[in-house]
Amino acid sequence: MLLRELGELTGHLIEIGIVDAQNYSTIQQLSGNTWTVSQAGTQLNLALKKRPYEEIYLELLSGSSFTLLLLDGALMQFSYEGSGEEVVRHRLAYLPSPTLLPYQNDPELYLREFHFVDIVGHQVVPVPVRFDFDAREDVARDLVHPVSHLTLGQYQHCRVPVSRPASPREFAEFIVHSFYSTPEMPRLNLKPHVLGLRPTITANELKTLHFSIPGAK
Amino acid sequence: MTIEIIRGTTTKPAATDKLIELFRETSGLEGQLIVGFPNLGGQPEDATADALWLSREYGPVLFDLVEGTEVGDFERRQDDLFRLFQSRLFQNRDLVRKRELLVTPYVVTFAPRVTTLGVSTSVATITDGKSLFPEIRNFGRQNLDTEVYEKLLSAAQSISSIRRARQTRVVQKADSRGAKLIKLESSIATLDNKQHHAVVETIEGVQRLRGLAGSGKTIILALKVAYLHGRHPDWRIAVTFYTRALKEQFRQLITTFCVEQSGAEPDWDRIHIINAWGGRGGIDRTGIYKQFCDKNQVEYFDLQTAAERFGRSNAFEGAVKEALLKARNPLPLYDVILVDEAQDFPPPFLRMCYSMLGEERRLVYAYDELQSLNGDGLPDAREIFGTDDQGRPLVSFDESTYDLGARRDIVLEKCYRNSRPLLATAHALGFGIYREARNSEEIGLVQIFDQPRLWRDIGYHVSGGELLPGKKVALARSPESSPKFLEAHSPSSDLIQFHQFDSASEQNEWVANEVQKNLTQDELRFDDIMVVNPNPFTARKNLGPLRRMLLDLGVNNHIAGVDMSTDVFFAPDRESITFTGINRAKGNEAGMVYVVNSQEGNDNRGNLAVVRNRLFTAITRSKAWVRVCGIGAEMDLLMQEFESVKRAQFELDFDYPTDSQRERLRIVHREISSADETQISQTGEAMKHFIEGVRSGQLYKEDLPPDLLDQLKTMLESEQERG
Repeated sequence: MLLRELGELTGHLIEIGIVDAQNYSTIQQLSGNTWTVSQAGTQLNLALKKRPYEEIYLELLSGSSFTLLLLDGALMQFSYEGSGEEVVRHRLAYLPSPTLLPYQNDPELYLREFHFVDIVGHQVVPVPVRFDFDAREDVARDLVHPVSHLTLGQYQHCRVPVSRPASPREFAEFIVHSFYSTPEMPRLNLKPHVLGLRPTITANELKTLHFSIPGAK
Repeated sequence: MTIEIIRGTTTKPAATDKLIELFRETSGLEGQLIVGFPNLGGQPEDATADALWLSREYGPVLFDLVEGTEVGDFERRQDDLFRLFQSRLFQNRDLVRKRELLVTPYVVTFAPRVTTLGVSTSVATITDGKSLFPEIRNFGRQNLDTEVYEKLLSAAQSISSIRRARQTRVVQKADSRGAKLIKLESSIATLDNKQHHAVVETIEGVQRLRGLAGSGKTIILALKVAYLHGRHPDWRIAVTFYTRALKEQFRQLITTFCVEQSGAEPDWDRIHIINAWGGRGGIDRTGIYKQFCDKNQVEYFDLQTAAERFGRSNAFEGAVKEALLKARNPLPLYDVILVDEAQDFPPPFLRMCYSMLGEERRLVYAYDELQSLNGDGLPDAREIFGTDDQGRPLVSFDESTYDLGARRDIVLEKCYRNSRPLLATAHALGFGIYREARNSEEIGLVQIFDQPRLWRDIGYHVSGGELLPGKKVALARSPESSPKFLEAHSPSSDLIQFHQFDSASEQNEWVANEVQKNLTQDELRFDDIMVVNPNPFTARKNLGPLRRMLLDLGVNNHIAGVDMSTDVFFAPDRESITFTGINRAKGNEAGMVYVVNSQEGNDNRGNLAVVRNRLFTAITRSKAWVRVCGIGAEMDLLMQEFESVKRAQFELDFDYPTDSQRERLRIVHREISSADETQISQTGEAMKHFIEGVRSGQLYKEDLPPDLLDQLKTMLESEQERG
């Protein structure tokens, strides 16, 4: 289901011209009935954690460790880990280019094949966005490390609580609606395949400012 | 019999001049004298060949020049030259028989300022101006036959095994497309004579290198850099270009050439491969314009701020002009600047480069007037570089006696990428040679060179009629300008094909299936295939559905988006087909090229020159096969043009336009900005309403203010007279 949803959203984003390149995600069976769905080079992320953002970005780009490369140079990574029918962990990352202007600020730049697109001044403030989910025991801590959380801008301890894990479609729609939409553009409306992701948010976390992903359509 | 002198760069100007003078004064000499011969390899402390004379009579004679009166250890230098040159010749099977070289290299030290003579030792010869030729005669004649002499020439000139070795191909079928590409690639792996000369010829001042796409301009520039760096390691050299993808290509080529020539990596503190514009953030990001601003302390604009200030389509030109205006006395930054793809830059950029050079003004720029995708080529030198306070042009391409042996204006008419049928078709379509006049046009032609002689420059000869305004002419390419091996591998019906479809989805389906066939049956690699949408503005929208279709067939693909290094996109091991709009296709080539949606813009009136240039560029990306695809009735028209050029056996047979016809073409099909386009269509609408109104009796032409009516009348009348 995960792969199907990923495949369909990739196809759709290619068709509308937002995705420039893509790497196939594959499913890997691990010991017992655990599995992962991701693209190659996922391990690279950990190794790079402490490096300057620009280096991380370039390393991931040149190593082709992304699921999708968007038209303004931003990368998207989708990786899931599960056991049987259950999703146990996910890491969904949006990594914008540190040197290019965001698409939304000047769509023509990218739609019309302009030259010198890389000649930008100080206007670029890249804000990576990550949705992480980790249901393994002993990882989460109420309020401090929510099971599902959102990290903005690579801040080490930024973990905004999120109500539940996100499906590939939900993450992609969130990114496209937030960063690749102009008022004239029709909104994405992809078909859901991944259903039944259960809430993980705690009662205490519900009382703070948090992100809420609506239930299945 | 004449001697051809090729003048390179030297650190010994007086002795060099004297040598050239002697060669020119002495009658009866033949062959080639190359002054400032490229490094022969060897160790850094080895001597370099200051000149080499190749002739049938005496074979190769190497010169060690002495500028002053100190001859130094000339015996050792001569040994170096002999050893290195001989080992180069030994690399050539055709020059060796029974373990012996068929030619003997001679070495002579030429010291025109040394007066005490007779220093000849048993092995080394030293000579002054008077005794040079007598000494050479003493070596004895070798009288080489033509075959050996030709081999000697090519052995002496093989500076490099140019083509970057891409991943090796594996083919199983002897006649598959993959196998054909292997043969093609090995045939173009060496430089020809003219290309070799273009590398070496060096002048003080501005040098222009013109040639079609695929004539080797980029490789020649890269070799020039390596050559100049080898001869003058202390020079500061900059190379710049328009398409960012070229950066990586230049880096690889220059590294290879430097290593081959001197055994050492180039000194990257001395050679800068940089963008034209340049952003903030150090040497990796800097560019010509950025450095100019920094050095002369004038305001720097990035793309956004420049677009706000000067308008988007004028952004770079505006920024460059402003900087030139503000920097009154620009400071020198480089000893040489080489500009590739000069046709894509606004002319003031070349002036900026010129102003950043020392007194010698060594600027080399390569351009292809036909590839200019913005509709018009570069203006002439007087306009680009301006005039001095006496009104004389600062730069001129007329030859002066000084540069005998080194041309200021080098034309490469031989095209090594596109076969004759392909190139002739691209030209026929680009100029609209066989296009039928439509609407109220007088002739179907879309554009034409201002100077008919340019046809000769790009490798056409007159095969019938006269190449004169108002006359009938037939132009054809010869085996000299379009080598046979480029077309011999496949029938012309396979080299180039046009396909018409009723809908975009039919077109896409056909292309997707063909691509899959190329990969599974034809033994082509992913990087051998490229899909181009000629219109850069519709590329994403048009290519999306086709990309998805291919992906569904299991063929991975990508769109060449934001300029990234070629590493990411044209890497041979990346199993992904490249899709691109025309702007990103430039500077790249592939064995099989699919041009899709070729009909777009074909019904334009204004802007048609741009539309046709894009088509030309798209077709000429192919080094072997091309499939031109399109939809609907407009594609039918393009196919008819193709049928005509095919019927004419890929010759261009047409009425050369008169001067006034040419002028009108320029106006009718000129490039128009999108703002102008809106205005033209609005005005057109208003006119239509008015005419309809008058026709139907709702309006009277007298309703217009009388002076407006008069102006309109005058305009139309003068138009008639001219036409």
